[in-house]
Amino acid sequence: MEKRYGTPGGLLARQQDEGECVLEQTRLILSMFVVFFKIGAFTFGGGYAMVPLMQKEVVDANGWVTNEEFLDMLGLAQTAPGPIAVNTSVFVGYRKAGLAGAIAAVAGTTLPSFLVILAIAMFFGQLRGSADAEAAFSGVRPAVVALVAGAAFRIGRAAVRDVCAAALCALAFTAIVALKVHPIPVIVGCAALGCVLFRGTSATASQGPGPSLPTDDSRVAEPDATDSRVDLSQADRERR
Amino acid sequence: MRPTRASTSRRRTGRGDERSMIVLRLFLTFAKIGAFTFGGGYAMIPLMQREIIDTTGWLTMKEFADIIAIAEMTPGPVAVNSATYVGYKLAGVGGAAAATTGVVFPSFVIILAVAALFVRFKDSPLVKAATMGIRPAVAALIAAAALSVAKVAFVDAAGPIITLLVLVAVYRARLHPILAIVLAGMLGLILY
Repeated sequence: MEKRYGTPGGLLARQQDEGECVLEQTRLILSMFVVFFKIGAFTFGGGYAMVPLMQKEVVDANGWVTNEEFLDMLGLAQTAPGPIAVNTSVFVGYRKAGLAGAIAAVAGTTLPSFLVILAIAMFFGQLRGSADAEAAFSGVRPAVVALVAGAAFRIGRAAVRDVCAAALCALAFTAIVALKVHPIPVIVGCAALGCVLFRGTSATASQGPGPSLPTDDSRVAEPDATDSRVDLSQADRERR
Repeated sequence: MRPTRASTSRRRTGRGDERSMIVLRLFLTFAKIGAFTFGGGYAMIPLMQREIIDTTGWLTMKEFADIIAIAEMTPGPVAVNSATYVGYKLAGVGGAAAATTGVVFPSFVIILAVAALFVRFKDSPLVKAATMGIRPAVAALIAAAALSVAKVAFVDAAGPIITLLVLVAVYRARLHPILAIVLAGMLGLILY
């Protein structure tokens, strides 16, 4: 099955359903915005939690992409920089409705949190000084340590599968903690080293950047993610 | 740092230039952060720490830890939430918009480029190898960030205990992170 990610007509051309009138296109863009707004508004606790809901909406409810395409996009979203939710929404939006769709999708995904945080920030400023708030946050900060450390451990456990990876991990850690190197050179350096060290690894290595289930990762699974249809083995079996 | 509400009137009287500079800097800084956040929202934390605390001093480590907690409890990716909050704190709604747009912008461009240019980005062996190099580094960076937060979070013996409790609760007992934060906050109210 041939994968076509773009159109020869360029960035603005619509992928599918050419020949629809402007009103139809506008309707699609708007509904994209609304759907992604809904997704963005109802997932708490991080991007990975959005994935099952996104899948439900984008594949099942609206049929904008097929499940395979979605998994493909997920893999890309994890490989490229940036929040995974944003990346996936850009891809789906572009795929279905060109540049306008991409913008609508991203706007929809980020707007709910933007508004909520704005509201909190506006009122939180007054709370900050109070002794109660400070006391509560003194309790919260160690919890944050736990969550961040937990994320590090989860990612580390999945990423460090052999000696090379362990060496890179140790190297990066030393660079950051002892040598105070800026994270960006560390990341770039390790990417370069990775190109050298992992060149020969087979494409189907379990450590590879294929789409991974949300439950694998640094998030506790949402209760309603149990009916998620994200199917890792199916994607791996699809060799095109 | 000046309180956000009190500065509103000052901002309107002739501080426009200074504010535009901050807004621009916010956009650029968060674009830089967004461009190198590989492997999930938490990967942004070490970058944010370096840029926003160490280099520019826009936040203290304590405020940073608090923002992470808030970003955890609110809808949306933690990266976007943190950007919005920092942006607002520094330059009001305009700052929030600049920071949020900034953090999203690089990935937007990259994904579009990949999608439009037929690039089989994620399947290229080079990209896979690079990613396998980046992931361990990201784990290390996040671990280092956890240490930095711990430095301000552990004011007494209760700190590590709370951390341990939360670790067990969230990762063994499958307690939802939001609940864990709320409970930890209540614990804080009792203890302090």
